[in-house]
Amino acid sequence: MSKSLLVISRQAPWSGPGAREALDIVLAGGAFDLPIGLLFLDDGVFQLAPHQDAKAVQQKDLGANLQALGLFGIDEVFACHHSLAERGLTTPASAQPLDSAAISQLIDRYDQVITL
Amino acid sequence: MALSIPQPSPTVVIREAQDEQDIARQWREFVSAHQLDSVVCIAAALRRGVLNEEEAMRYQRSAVNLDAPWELSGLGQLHDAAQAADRLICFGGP
Repeated sequence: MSKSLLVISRQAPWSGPGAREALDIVLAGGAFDLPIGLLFLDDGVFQLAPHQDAKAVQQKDLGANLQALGLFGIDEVFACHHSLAERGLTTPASAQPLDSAAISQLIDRYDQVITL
Repeated sequence: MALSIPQPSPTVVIREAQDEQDIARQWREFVSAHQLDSVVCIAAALRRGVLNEEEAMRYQRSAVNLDAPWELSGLGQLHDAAQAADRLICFGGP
């Protein structure tokens, strides 16, 4: 049986390549049919903010990659409730909000964790 | 196996001041001493201007700043290695 991997994405979408690279790891794992989870934590939750205009900062839209998660069989997508609230973001449709106790359980449940 | 999503640590061009820690050299010694597979993510490397001789030639760049023991490879190898490894250690994150 394959080992499960949780990717914790902590970088804001346009602060550098980290957000895209975390997503690339998740999508690559999905392409190999591996059990992969994705947790948005800290500034990573900004990736879930609606109405982003990637072109305005001469970047490629990450939204399309986020929407591709389902196509790659990744349905374990979570966001830290505290991080969302701290930044005034409402609960996104694309990620399940978790409190810190649930995040501890989540991390325990996966065999491996990568934080980017 | 050691896999690096490059911070500058794998590159060969770093020259630290004599009384400062030379992480690039320490990595090379660690990898050689333990005969590890040492892989740098190719997409992340190209994005940051980290190239070995082959990639410098492919993209017609005049400088090479990565060589043995490091190899460039794709994310498939990360997942492959993670599946085979008894543990995965992630450090140097944000």
